[in-house]
Amino acid sequence: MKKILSLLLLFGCIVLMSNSVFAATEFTAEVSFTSGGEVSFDAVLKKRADNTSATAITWDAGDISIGSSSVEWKTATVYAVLTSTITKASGKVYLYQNNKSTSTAVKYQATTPRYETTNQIYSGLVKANSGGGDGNYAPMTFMVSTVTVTTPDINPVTSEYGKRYFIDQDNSNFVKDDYCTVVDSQGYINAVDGSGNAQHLAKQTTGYMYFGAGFQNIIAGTSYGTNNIKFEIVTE
Amino acid sequence: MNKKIKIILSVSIYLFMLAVVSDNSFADNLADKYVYSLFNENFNGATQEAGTVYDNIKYNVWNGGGNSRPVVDIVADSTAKEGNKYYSCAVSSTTNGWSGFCYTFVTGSSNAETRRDISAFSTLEFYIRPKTGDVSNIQVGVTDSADRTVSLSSLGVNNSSHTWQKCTINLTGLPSVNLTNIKNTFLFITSNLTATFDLDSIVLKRSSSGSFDAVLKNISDSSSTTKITWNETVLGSSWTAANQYIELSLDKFESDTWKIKIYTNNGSASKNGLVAVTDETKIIPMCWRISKNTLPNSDGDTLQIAQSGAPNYALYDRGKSATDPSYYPWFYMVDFAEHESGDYDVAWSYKGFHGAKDENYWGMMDMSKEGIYPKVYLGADFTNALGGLTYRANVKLELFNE
Repeated sequence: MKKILSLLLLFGCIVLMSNSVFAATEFTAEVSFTSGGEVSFDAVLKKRADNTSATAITWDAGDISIGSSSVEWKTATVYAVLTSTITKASGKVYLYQNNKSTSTAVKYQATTPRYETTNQIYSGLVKANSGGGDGNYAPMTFMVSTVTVTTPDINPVTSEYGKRYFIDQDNSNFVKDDYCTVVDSQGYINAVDGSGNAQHLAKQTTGYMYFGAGFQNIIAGTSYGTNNIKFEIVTE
Repeated sequence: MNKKIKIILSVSIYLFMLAVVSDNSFADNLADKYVYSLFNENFNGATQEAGTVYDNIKYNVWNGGGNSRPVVDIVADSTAKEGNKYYSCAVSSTTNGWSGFCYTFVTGSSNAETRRDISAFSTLEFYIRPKTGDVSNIQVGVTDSADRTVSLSSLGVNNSSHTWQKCTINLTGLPSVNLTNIKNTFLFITSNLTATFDLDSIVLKRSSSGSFDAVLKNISDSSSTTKITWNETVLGSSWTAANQYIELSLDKFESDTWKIKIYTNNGSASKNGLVAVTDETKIIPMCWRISKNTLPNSDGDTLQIAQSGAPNYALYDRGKSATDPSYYPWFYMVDFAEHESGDYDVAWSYKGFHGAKDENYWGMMDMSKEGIYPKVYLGADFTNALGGLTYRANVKLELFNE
């Protein structure tokens, strides 16, 4: 034991001599934020074609095949410009639908879910005057970016991450978690991995949201829509 | 004259004299510096500028009897021993002639020759790089009432080695020297020889060690303070400079490869910034830059910090042109625990102050009149900062030998 200790001491001395410290000074740097921070959020719709203002999220009907039995994912002609300032740790913005809501016109109100495995799903575009049910929904997706995208990929099949399905507060598996979070105190979320972990983009004030929908077995003369897309701002 | 009036006048004159004697806007470096620079870009000492600065020297050169006048040019390149500059010397002499050059103490705007007391210093040190010819018999030393010199060969200079060689002259060992009455403080007698050689890092040194000091000052009024701070209005803001700067003062020259490093001392490589006191996973990144003078300055250097995009995310001075050598003066802070092996955390070294990324070290000989006291500025990125939290960091500066 004694021999080993002596060798260790010798090695320690050699290390010190090769990089000698002659003098040192240390300071404390500090900043205190006495206010709890803020949470602010806004979304404005614009047309992808010319960036002029829009009032609704729409798709080009001429771009959708009638009667196709395969799901066709189409990008909406409109995108949203998001503006957020979140400096409160608990601050975030959820995105979800409320297709069962009776507060708006009943044309696109859903009373009957579709089934995905055993889950009851109300989210997406609802076939007009159908009340929902299997075959009467067009699922919707969204993607978030911190730069404008000329050709946004909103097809959930092409890549596992980056696009997320819209969810509805009445879905049987609805949970307010990162999957339906658009932005939090760490910045805009552009994806949620298979473990449910949010992938944040570099934090900045402005974000962009693009929309998609999957159309299948579309009948001519019908319309699909949703009157209730909600951004819920959480301040506490 | 009325006696009372006479007394008042005397007091007034006495106070005026006191004011004149005490007014010493420029420090006498010979009196209080442990390292006195004669030609060194990192230490305070003499200045070759005329004016009211007390520590004036004048460069003198002479020749005669067939010897050519020595050519001594200041050259700037990366081969300097310290800083960026060195003297490139060329002498050409026939027999029986005389030539040489020296630094002479002068005073006032008229540059009148004067005598100074350098007895507080124990050594005169410099570096020489022989190039052509034979420098062995060059005499070097000082002048009091006569020249007091030794040969370069006696100092161990190897004429065959064309690399920088250090020469140390024990001042009290010069024959019959009176160090209290020095006229020429660096004398080079090059008579009757032909040679080329370079000189650099010419300093006087005391036998004791001197000091390294770092003083924290407020940017607003340069008053001393004790903590590096930002206003809480920076919440959510991108890179913002702190309200203070650290003024460095180096009067310690114990190694020719000295470095001054800056880093956080927070105990972990990941804690290379301001760490939330109540949640150590919340870290605000920090950065630093060093300047030869206070910012913003007349060279257009500012405290506006910006970050470029991928892939480099380099920090640059928003107030400068992208083609300016000092466009990228900011360095991300690293923590001591990262054990940075390169120069990324080196703020100041024998090469000069680390003015911009990569190997951009610059000497400060142009600051010899105002004083060589470089300033370290700090910044932080509050984009991800959260309200209700206090963030803190230990910032350390360390002088050590490479």
